[in-house]
Amino acid sequence: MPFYRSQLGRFGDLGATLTPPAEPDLMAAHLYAANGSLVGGRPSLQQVLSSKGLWDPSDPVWQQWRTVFGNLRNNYMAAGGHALPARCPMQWSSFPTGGCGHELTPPLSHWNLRGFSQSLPSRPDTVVSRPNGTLGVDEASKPMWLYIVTSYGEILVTAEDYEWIKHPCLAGGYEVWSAGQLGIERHEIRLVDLRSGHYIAPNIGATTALARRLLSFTREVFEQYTRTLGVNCLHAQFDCIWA
Amino acid sequence: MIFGGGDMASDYLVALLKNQVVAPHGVVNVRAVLDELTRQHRDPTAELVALFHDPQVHEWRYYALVGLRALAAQGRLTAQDARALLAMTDAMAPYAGVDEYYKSISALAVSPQTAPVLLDFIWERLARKTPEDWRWLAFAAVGALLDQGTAKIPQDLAKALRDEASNELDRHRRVQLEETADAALKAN
Repeated sequence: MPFYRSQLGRFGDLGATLTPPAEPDLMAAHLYAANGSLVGGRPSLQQVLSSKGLWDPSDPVWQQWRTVFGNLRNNYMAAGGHALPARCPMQWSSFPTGGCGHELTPPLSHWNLRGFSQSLPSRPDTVVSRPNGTLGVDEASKPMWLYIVTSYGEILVTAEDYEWIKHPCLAGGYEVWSAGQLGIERHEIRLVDLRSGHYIAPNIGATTALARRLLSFTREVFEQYTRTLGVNCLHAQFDCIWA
Repeated sequence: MIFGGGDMASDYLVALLKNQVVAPHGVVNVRAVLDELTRQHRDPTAELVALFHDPQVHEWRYYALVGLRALAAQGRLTAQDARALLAMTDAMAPYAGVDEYYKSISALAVSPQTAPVLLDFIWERLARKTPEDWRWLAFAAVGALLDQGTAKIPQDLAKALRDEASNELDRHRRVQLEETADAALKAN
């Protein structure tokens, strides 16, 4: 399937109309990478990668992480873990059964964890102390920061803009292996939870064996991603919680 | 989100909410609104519930619910407030999706004051068999209570859940429901 006809090519038609003789896949990719808005010249691949914190796939450090992630994912799968199917919590009367309007909406902006971590010094806290002595992500602190773990080991982050941008917007068609929200405390990631109305809530029950495996897998992915790739953004007491 | 105006009763709160719109993201920082209400010694719970039920400003209902959940997560709601929150969730879910229930369950489960209200919520789901995903929702509430350790699941409820689990047709879900019901039985 050409890129511009795929989930990630949602700007494909627009790309094709800008300069009809140009390769529409290329145009769609440029538009997507530039968050749908091209002002002035098109960004180079390196500019796009840098703006989002993404590594070049051939980068040896990234390759090393791919190996580490592959092992983590294999262990998780051996324990019964799997990619998470999306089930939209909303009903879309104009869509076929199971349709989801969020899937068709790209995020306004997105980064990987490295790209997002560069903005942490300016991000306010999103963690709340709860009456039973636990910490959680404060639903009232907006914007909410959403993350997913993709099948190739990337941790992608976006804001829940307009209360509309959800995890499937970020996934853009990729398989999702974990999803939730980031809890920020004093400019570090204090915790991540597994709150996703599309990927977690309808698929996995709290305190089940599946939930425990997913918690462990997600915690390990964050810890080893940051360690292997040299991304210094996790709090010393970083934790992964259910909700 | 489209942010409109309100009538006299909710004007002040709507003004606060409008003042906390985080422009690039199109969302309202409700935490700042709650902080401001608290600083002024106002009653955020009463004001948020009133805002939710004010038909003149129904476009702000979503943020009234968000605010109330945040108060729940801080342990600032009574059992009666918790019931109001669940009723508001019932009203919001048909528009905003079943996820509203999961969010409310999570918020209520973290406080020993509000967690027992979820036991009634679970019984109601089993009895009324609504909304559409009622069985999974009931067990989500059980799971949240077990996870947070804030309310005991009574033996009769745990047994009813064990019976109900076997009615689930989706095998992937049934295995988890049975596991959750067994955990509830063991926790007694």
